[in-house]
Parts: sequence; structure tokens; C-alpha cells
Amino acid sequence: MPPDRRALTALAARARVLAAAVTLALAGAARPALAARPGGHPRRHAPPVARTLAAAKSSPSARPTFRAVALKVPSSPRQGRVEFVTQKRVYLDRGNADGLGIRQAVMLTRNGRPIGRCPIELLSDHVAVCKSGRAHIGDVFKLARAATAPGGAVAQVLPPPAADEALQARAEALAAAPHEKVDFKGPSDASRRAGITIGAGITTWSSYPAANGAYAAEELDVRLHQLALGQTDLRLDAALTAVRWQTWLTDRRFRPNAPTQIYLWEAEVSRRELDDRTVFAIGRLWPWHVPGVPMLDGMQIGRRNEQGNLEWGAYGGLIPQISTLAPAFDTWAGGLYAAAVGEGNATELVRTVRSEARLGVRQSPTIGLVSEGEAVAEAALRSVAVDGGARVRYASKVDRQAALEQAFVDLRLPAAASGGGWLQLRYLGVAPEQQPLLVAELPSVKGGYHLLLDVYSSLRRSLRFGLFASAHLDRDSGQREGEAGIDLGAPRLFGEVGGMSVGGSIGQGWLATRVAYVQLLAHPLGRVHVRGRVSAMQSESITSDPLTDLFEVGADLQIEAVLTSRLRIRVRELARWPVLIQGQAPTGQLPGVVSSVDAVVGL
Amino acid sequence: MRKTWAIVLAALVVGAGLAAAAPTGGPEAPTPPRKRGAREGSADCSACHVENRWSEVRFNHEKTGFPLSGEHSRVSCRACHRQDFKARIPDTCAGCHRDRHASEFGMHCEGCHDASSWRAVLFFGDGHRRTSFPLTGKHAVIPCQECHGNMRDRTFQRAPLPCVGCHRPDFDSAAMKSIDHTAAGFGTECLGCHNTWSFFPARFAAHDNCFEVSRGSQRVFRCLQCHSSTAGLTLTGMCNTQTTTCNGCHSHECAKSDQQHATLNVMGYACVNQKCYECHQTDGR
Repeated sequence: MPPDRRALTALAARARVLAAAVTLALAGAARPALAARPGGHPRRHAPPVARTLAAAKSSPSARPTFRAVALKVPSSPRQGRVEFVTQKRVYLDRGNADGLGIRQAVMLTRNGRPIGRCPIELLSDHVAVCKSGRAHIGDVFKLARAATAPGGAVAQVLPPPAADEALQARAEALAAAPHEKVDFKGPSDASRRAGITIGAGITTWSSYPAANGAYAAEELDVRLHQLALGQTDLRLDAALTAVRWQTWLTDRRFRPNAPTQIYLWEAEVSRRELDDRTVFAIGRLWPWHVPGVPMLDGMQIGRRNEQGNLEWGAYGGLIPQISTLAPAFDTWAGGLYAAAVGEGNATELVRTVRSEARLGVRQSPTIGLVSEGEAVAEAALRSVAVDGGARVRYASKVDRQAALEQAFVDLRLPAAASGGGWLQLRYLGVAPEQQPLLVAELPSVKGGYHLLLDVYSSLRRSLRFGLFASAHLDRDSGQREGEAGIDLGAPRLFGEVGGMSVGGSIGQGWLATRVAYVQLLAHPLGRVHVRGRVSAMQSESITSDPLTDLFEVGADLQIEAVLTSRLRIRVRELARWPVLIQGQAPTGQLPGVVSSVDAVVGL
Repeated sequence: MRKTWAIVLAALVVGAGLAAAAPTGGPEAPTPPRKRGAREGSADCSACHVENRWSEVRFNHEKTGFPLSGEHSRVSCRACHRQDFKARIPDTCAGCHRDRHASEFGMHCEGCHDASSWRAVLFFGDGHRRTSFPLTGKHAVIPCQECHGNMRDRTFQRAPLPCVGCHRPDFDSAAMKSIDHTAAGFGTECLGCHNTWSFFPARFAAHDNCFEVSRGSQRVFRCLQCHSSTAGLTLTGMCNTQTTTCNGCHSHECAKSDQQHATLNVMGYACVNQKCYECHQTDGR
């Protein structure tokens, strides 16, 4: 290309740069807020900047220059934009070069309204990551100083690229140069899951006149989760709860009758990493994939197939005492188990199938040897999911033949923004080994049936309708219980902060009940979750003359604050006031109040 | 009663119909993850990772239809995706969690628990209405362990429905505190007289036939405030106990009372207890 022709071409390119810069500045200033899709995710429009650049790129001679513009000229010089959000973090399109600093808190705004500060945690030249739980894609923030190369500034013109031959030679040299691949070796999966959680709380139940005392309990929960034992692939899991009853009623109805109680839920050493073919656990364990056996002082050992979707093995051990969890030596259980997970693809009727089953025996101090079989399974189909399970047992001392001890079937419509539902039919039969836990408790001898239904539908994005119903039959007492209710909710009544719902129900059983309620769900500060509910309840005894037995007002308030990623505090108040008792205003009756405060620390 | 059951039945039928007809997708349904983020094995690391560290992943899990809330946001990806990210995994709680309730409630954990912690139980007084035993009165504001003592399986099925299942000690101790319910012929159907806020004051409808105690100031009297003894009595409300002492509450001087009743010329008057409540059925009359 002749020199004069080259100069003219460069001049034309500069003119295009200036025109593009002006266009970009105007487009950035006039860029509309991104419209939010109904699902809550902003729709990605092609911004004017991209359209301008796409048009400008059509000129081959100007391409190098416009690349520089695309990198250096921001869409809006005095404000940045949220490009992506996760549960906790917010990704900004501005960085150190735009005046941001580490730990600097930018004020995010949406439609001109501030939504909260976002302290920057990670920073690079042109992007930053800050921490907030309330941001949405498209939120903006102001910069302390304007970004470089706004309208008046001239973008730096890069030198023309080297000749194609030179670039090709460089690429070949790079490709031919020996280099060793560097694999990422991060922390192991187990170590990231390991942790210690400590929860402490105090609860009082002041439902009795103060002169006669009330309940007050302090509780401490400690949980060790997947702690590595040395350099082995053995892991330690433990969980216990210590309860100190400061005050309680003189006539305690439950056992153990001791002011201080310690419950050891779990204390197991296990080998169950993802790549382990042989898995086992020993100690006070809560065996995996063994339905109906929640706690054993013993061992579980299993073997997985190569794909990891099938596991089979054996379990055995002593069953702790039912009320104290103290070790017991006259009750044990053992058997075989198997579990499988299958998957389909999006075009198949069955998306996933999961099943667990066991065959075992159990020694009972009262009825001897009991043979048991139990299986649970769930299948996710295209639009519905079906769960089911059953337990069958045979105890020669009390059964003439195998008996169905319990069974359930669930039908679920997967939760979606547009609606969902759940229907369950449950049969709870008679356990052969009756262990009444309450003083003078009457053992169940016949069992019962339960039917529950929940269904909801979003009429609009801001309006939700729900229907719930349940029916129960207790065969011991012959009592039938039923309830049906509706719920009408406006989940976005307060915008992003939360919403309210109102509802009511009627019930018939050992009491005839009528309930109406108003419920609030809100998260006003992002890290604070509030749930409040006020309800009015009317109950009538169906066994006496038809007076209005009870009219009560109830209130329930729960506030949970996630102070840091490791500290969470929860406050809860529950109160009930009797307005009418047996049709008359109560005399000297105090309201019942349950107050609890607890904090959970994760280490 | 039939009306209520008809409503319950109608709700079940209508609800089942709605559930069957409810849309399962639509414009607001969560969409599957973008191909860019789900393409495992691709060299496009930036589809999920950021520049600063590998462990910082920016995959938007909300687009899968399973938002990672609460504790779910803290676990590693492989805790749930045990094989790879292409394999579908169950989206139910039981797909990853063990059932501490020994299958008693099925796999519907979210009815009582949320994702913040297992301790955060959403099941309180109002929620108990969905069982066969709605909690009214003080039942709603006492510790759960008062009725559910099974710590091993954390199952709740054994809590008995009849009142005496839990209140047998109260029934028995009443003989020492107020009245021997068994000797008096009271059954164990506690709701005939008592309510769920307190055992006292109790309603004794039959007593009103002789002397009204359901209203007025007598409503808060205990048995032994009027009856000198309840031992061996069969309480039918037929004014045959012969143990009532009006003077326990009312100060009477027979001379003064005789004069007052003589002035009014009350027929059949006598200054004895039984004669008092034959006429004076309630306070002030």
C-alpha cells in the first residue's frame, strides 16, 4: 500500500474511532435498565455498545483500532454494572483500573433506588467480585472517578499488527516449545466438607402461672462432620446434644427424669469417599442406605460397583435404649442392604430412580427374634415424581404370618414457580414391640391411616393460591380427624423484601376447629429472615354440650440473622392467648409463651 | 360435623384434580442450565471458574431448578454430584440425606425442615393441625418431649390420642388434690369437663341440675370448697351428696337468716345447707 494511501486510511480509521466513541458515550448514558424476566432473571439484550461495535467491525481496515476501543471504552464511564450473581457473590464489570479498591464497598442501586452496600473481596484490573446476597444482574453502582477514555478522551491507537508471516512464525514457535501440563490440585473434596458446628440455645416455656413454675432448658449441640483422621481416608462424624432443664414441672410425664441429659446421636469412623469401592463405618453409626434403621452401635460394611451407582453390604450392631440412647445389650439388629441409583435422559419417561432395601433380623427383649424386610424407592418421571416404601415383619411370638408394619406412597409434582403439589397416603401399623415412653402411656395396638395433600398454583407472579387437606384415622381410638384449608399469598407484596399470605382452615376430629391466619415472610436486610404469623383459633369439643370451648389468638415470630458465613442467630417467640374458655372470659389465666434464642457457629 | 367432613373431602378431591392439572412448566419455570456452563470436559474453564482461584465457582445453580440455599450453598459440588455433572441426581431430600424418622413420614422432609439446618424445625403449634391431634391450649406451648419421648428413631407415631395416654398421672393424682375421679364415677373422657388450657376450672354440666357452677363466681370454686368431703361419693348432680356446706363461702347466722326469710314469708325455709341451694341456684339469686 502506498504511503499516502496508508495515511488516508489511518485518518479515516481515526475518524471512525471518534464517531464510535461519541456514539458509545451517548448510548451508555441512555441505556435503559434491563427488563426483568418473569422468572426473576434479567433478559440479556444486546446492548447498544455491542451493536455499535458489531457495525463498526464490518470495516476490515478499522478492526485493530476497534478492538482497542472495545476493551478500553466502558459502556458508561461513571458507573459499573453487575454482570453475574451467585448465592453470595456479585461480579462487577469494573476493576482496579476503574478506581475500585479491595474492601471498598460499592453502593448497588436498582432503578435508582439503593439496595445495599457490597464490599469488594476480589479485584483485578477490569473486574471485581463483591459480597452481597441481594444483587441482581443489571444492578449498577457509581464509580468514584470516571473510567478512562470517555467521550472527550481519544482512545489509544495501537500499532498495526505484525505481518501475517511473522504472526504465523510466532504461533509455530509457541506450539513447538516444550511445556508441561500443570494439573490443578486443590483441597480434597472431604476436607472442604469437613467442619465443626456448635449450636447453643436457651428455651423457656412459660405456659403456667409463675407461681407453679415453668419449663426452661439450655441446649448445646455439637457436630463434627467428616473430620479427616490423619493422612488416611478415614473420617470422623459425631453429633451430640446436651440439655440442661433448669426448671420443669414437678410431675414429669416423660423420661428420663433427670435435669441434665446428653444424647449421643452419632460417633462413627467411616470410609466413604466417592472413589472408595469398599465402604464401611464403625461406632455409633447412622447407616447409609438402610431404611428403617436409624441408629446402631455397631458396624456397616459395603461394596460399590465401578460406576458407583450400586452398593450392597451388611450391617449389624446393638440398638440403643429408646429414651436415653444409652447402650443396650439385649437389643440388636443385623442384616443385608442394597441401594441403587439409575438415571435416564431428558427424553425418557424416567429421569431418575433411586431405591434402597434391607433384609434383616432384630432381637427384642420382649418378643424375641423379629425378621424384617423394608424397601423405599423414588422415581422422577417427566413431570411427576413417585415415592413409596413399605416395611414387612414377622415375629413368631406375636404374628401368625408376615405383617405389614408401615407403608407410604407419595405423588409429587416438582416444585416450580408456576405450581406444585404433593399427595401422600401413609399407613402406620402396629409395631410388635410396644414401648410406651410416657408414664402410663397406652400402647398402640391397631395403627392408623393418614392422607395429606398440598397443592399450589401461581395465578400470577405476584399471587399464589394454595390448598391443603389432610385426613387421619386412628384405629385404636376410632377417632377420625380431617382438615382442609386454603392459602392466598402475595409473595412479592413488599417487592424484593417479601410478602404476605392469608388463609384459613376447618377441621373435625376430637375437636371441631376453625382457624384463620395472616402470615408474613420477609428478608428485609438480605441476611435477616423474618417469619411472623398471627392466627385466631376456635375449638369446640365434640364430646360435650355445644358451647364454644376455646377461642384463642396465637402469634409466632421467628427472626434469623446470618451475621457471618459462620455465625447465625435465631430468635423465636410463640404465644397463645385464651380469649374464651368454655364460652367465658378466662379468669386468671396467663397466656402461654415459648421463647427461644440460639446461635449456631460453624468452624 | 358432616358439613366439615364434606369440605375436607371436597378439598381432597379438588386438590387432587388441581394437582393433576397443575402446569409443570411454563414461562416462569426454572430453565435448565446454559449449555455453556454444563459442558463438562470442555476446556472453557471460564464457563464456571473465575480467575482468582479454582475453588471459586460462579455456576448459577438456580437455573437448574434447585437453588442452593442455606447449608446447600456450603457443601462441595461432589457431595451431591457424585459421578459427574451430566448425571441427573434426585432433587428430593432423601436423594442425599438419611431419614432419621425411620420412614415414618415418607420422603417429604421440607414439610417440617428448611435448608438452613436440621434444627430449624418449621413444625410448631399450627403445623400440628395437620396431624390427627391439633394442638390447642397449653398443648401448643409445652416442650415436644412432653408427649414424644422416642429419642432413638425420632418417630412421633406413638404419642397417644386419648387424653389419659399422657394425663393418667393427673387423673390419678386428682384423688389426692381434689376429687377421686374413679370413685366419683367420672370417666377418662376428660374433655367432658376440662379444656386444654387448664384442668381447673372444670365444667360439670350435671351439677347445674342441682346447683349451677358453670357460671358466676361459683365457676372458679373447687369441689372441696363447697363439699366437706368427696370420699365415696358418686357425683351425679342430683343433690344427694349431703356434704355441701354453704358456710364455706357464705357467712350465715341462722338467727339473722331466719328473720330475713320470715320477713319474706319463704315457704319451706329451714336453716340447713340443702335448703339453701334448693332455692339459691346461683350467686345473688
